Amino acid sequence: MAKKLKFVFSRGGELHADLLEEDAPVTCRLFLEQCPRTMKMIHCVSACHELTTDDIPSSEPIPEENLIHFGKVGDVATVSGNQSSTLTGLEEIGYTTLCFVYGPHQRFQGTGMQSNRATVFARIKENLDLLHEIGHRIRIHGEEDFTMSSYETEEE
Amino acid sequence: MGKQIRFSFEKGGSFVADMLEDLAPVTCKVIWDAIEKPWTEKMINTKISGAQIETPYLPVSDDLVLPNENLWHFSNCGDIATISPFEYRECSIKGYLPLMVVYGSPKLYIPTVTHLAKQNIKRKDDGDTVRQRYKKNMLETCRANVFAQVVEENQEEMIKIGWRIRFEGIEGFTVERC
Repeated sequence: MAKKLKFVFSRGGELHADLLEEDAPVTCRLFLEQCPRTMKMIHCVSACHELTTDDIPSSEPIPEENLIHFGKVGDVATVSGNQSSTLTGLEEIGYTTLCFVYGPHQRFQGTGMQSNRATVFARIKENLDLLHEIGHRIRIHGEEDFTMSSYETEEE
Repeated sequence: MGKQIRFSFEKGGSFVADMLEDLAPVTCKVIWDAIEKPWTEKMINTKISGAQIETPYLPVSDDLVLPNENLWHFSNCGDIATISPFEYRECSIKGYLPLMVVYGSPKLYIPTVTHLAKQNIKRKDDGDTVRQRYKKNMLETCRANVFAQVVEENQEEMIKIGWRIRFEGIEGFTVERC
């Protein structure tokens, strides 16, 4: 059985991501604990083709697992509090961040100046055109509600 | 008194900027001529340059050769800038200039968790508030011709408009001579 995350967007469309439990076991567990949860997604200002929300609690600090500097289309990531002071601040109030990479030429950034490495804990492999459309839609039309939930499948 | 321009936004709010004719005389003339009549377009949040809103389509003549003037790599709150083809290279569009407004400021900073989850976080003075950079793509920085500066008394309004465009999306605006 494989665990997956489902993201349903209020303006339409749903995306499914494979959890990378072998590469990021603790992070996967922390995000599964939060399911189901409805949040708002916004566009980033520095990391190029990236959507982000900081509206997600975490019962423990996010560990530095499966650290990636250059994000790929479909990567679903969060970032340890060790990576910038904003993230340290989030960690101190029991929150973390969630990011989707929706296009190429992407580098994870902690601020407008500081690049960093993200904990990639899930990956969207299908419907990448829809992911791209949602990314552009949120940049152009603004923030959007989405709901994250989990399920199991017999797929390997 | 020098020349001034005014930006007005469709969801409300406006701000005035002083043109920096001493520092960027050719750029100021190009922009001033381009807005002989009020010019209306849309501004969108940048995705690479930090707290900045931009439009890529200010119409200018096809044969314009805009020089590099008052070049800045790091941007300051209230900067109004364009980028010459000498710097922007393959990002340039013949017959158009990009126009950007920098709204990033430690005076009014809205962490995303504050906006989204109504939670406050402590910020540390550890360099994260350092000025952002002009960029031409994800990996390459560039320098911009800074040709105007939002007047001090209008900066808070300008910053709020910048954050609004990030959170609520693309918005129409008009720029005109004062």
